[in-house]
Amino acid sequence: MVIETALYLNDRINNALPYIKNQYWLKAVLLISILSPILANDLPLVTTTKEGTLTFPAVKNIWIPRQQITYNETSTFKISCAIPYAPLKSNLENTNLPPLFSNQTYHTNSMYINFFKVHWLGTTKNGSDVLSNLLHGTRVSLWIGIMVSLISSFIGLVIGLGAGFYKDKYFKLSWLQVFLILFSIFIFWFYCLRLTVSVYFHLFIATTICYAHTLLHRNLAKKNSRKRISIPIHFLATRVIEIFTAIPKLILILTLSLFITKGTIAVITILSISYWPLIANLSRNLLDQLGQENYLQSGRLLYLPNLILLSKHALPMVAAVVLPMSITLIGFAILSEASLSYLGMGLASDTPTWGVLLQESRSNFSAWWVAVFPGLVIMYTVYRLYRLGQQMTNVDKLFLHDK
Amino acid sequence: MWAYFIRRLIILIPTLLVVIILGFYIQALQPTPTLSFNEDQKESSKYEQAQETFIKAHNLQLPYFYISINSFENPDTIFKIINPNIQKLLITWLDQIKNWEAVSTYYHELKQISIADSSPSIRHLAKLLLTEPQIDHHSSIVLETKATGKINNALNKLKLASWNFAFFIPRINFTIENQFHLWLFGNDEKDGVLKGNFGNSIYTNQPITQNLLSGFKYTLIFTCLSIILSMALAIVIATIWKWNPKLDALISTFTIAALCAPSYWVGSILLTTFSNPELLNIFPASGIQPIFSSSNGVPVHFIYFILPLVCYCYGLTAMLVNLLIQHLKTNENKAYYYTAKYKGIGKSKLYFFHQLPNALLPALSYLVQSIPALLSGSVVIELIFTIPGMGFSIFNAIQQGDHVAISFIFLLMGTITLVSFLLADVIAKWFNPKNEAIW
Repeated sequence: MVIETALYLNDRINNALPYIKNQYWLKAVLLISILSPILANDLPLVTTTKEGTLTFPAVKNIWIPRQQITYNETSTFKISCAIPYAPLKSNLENTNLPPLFSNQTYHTNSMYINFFKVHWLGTTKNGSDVLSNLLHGTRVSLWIGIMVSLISSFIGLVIGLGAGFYKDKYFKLSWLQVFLILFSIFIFWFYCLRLTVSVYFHLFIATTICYAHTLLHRNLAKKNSRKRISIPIHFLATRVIEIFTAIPKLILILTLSLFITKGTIAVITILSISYWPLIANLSRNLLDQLGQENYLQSGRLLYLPNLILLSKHALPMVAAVVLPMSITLIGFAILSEASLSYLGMGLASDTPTWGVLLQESRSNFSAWWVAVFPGLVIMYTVYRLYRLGQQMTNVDKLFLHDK
Repeated sequence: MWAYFIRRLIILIPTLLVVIILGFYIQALQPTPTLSFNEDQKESSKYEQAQETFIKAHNLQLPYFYISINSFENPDTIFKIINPNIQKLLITWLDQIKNWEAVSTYYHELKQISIADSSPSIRHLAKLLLTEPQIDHHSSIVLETKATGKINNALNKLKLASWNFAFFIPRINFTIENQFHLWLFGNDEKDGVLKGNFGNSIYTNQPITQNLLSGFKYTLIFTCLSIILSMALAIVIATIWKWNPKLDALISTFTIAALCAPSYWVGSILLTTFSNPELLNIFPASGIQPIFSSSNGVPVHFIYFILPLVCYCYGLTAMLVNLLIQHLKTNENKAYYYTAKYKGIGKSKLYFFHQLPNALLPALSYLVQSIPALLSGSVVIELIFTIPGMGFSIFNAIQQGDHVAISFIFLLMGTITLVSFLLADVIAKWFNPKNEAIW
């Protein structure tokens, strides 16, 4: 099934490639998210050590945090970055500068340095450079968006596919299996999550459960195979989705962010919790509509194994809709992260993101440049992602019609 | 139709119950609220007493729900210890020692020593140990201070008694005396939610409904106005699109751009341009006045409504325009459209009497579904424009961590959302009975 899916995805991406080719903005954002420490940094790009060999501190900053990098500050040979400012580094001499060539205070008289030392997009009220913050913000914002989209579409696909494919009557288990599954979930929850027991005990419990499970399944479940009950997966999944959509997203996010500690992982979990029902609902609805066409039904009548039916017939149809949706979801996640940071409940203000920059504008209305540029960047990125998603749906429609 | 409605309603009730329980659990996950005291006052015994009465008044020491699953060694009477810090300390000790009897005797011995021992240094040491959650650190602390006698004996006794087998046996506890039961049904002293008492705020001690719903009229006015306005605007734009098909690309670009612009950003941009004394000072920056209170017979206070309404409307309008145009396009490929067209109906008659009503239905259904999103979206807009509406008080209550308020918010929002979903489904079913309901 894994190989099937991989081949299918490869096919689909090959088909969509001509459309992805022209996405210059998204490519640039992706590149900047990786290379931002080279573009904007107060570390020099090239210097010499005390022994006289060349080092590249700004390049090191791509994979090492800023605080851990040291270099020889007395060296005379230095090539600085194109934007020689670090993000969120306060400079009390140049606060609230408007964009482009404004009157700022320098400590050197060299014309060459003055030309490069320009705050192109102005400074915040702490005196940190807006452009540098923007470039470094792409890193956190984009990767939060991608991770949220990946996690929530995975959870949504599993639940939506299960609900849409098995419906209410096609997933059958014997009573014993139901009991064993519930029992093992309970045991796992009780010993591994509720009680704090040593790791060896966890391993012992897990192995015994697995062993007992396989033994009982082989010997006893076959005898009871006639007394199988169908599990209403569709009904259960629909109720769970309904419950999660019944709580408004913003209120759920605000309440969760109260007691989850601040950080990137926390924001990713909070947003994934609130976004998976979208994907699950979409894939389930699609399979429900397909059910009327009866080709999954005829496959069942031919005694095709469920795995092949799932991977060859159900998954391609669902992925054709979910793949574009997950791309637009990256944009929505970026928006939500920004709004969380704007309300002061997302990431801590010492990590540079687009939302943290926008939050600065909340208390500083006269500095329009702090609000306008990050907002435009967010808006255009999300717009491009939305458009890419739309194009992908069109490609997929063409692709399906060809077959 | 009625059978469908009733079946839908029957399923709605347990879903609502689960939403309420979920909301209750989410609010229970956050740490217990504490009274705000100065650092000097925290030392005194007065503070502890005040804290205990505070917790007792709101029944925060009780278990959250009817059923709880615990280890056999966990005492089911632990909620009788009122101080939440001591409760937490004893449970962390129990997790390490796995023997309740030994832990409780150790705790009582330490308490006895900290009060009654003759030497002040040992009393201080006992107090120190009573705040240390890690048992491993206890022996190192005792070794450092070279204390012998009672404390050392107690610690040794505790270590010998550790590991009781009963700790690994699960037990299901059932109590009627819990927070959820009290909140739902109440007791002799106060009514529960079912009798219309939603409880008092923990911090201000006022009724929560009065706290949260006092600004509801503003939010309601904004929501209704924005729904009507954006629907009207969307119909106008869709009609313009119908008569000028060349504008398709332009309209779709603008609508998607509007969907991608966060409302707080638009709000702050509007504020910096239109209520900035340095640029344009047309609209007031914040606050709200009743619409119809006027000076000299002219309703001047309408001006307060314009900027927030723009913020409310633009996203909804964009979404509705998108939906309308999409469904107008699909309707153009249908048989009824061709038939009417080639029979010779005029273009405007065909559009207004046949094509538009068919396309309006999904838009209407979407509009009903988006009411809860509008209500919760009011949080951000009311924060920017400092309107004392419901969203503003919801944000304040959540940020303060008010237990009672959060469970009320979940109850209210869950009900509104589920009812609006039901309404949207019923509308869809009413207009097109062929629609297969998805369960």
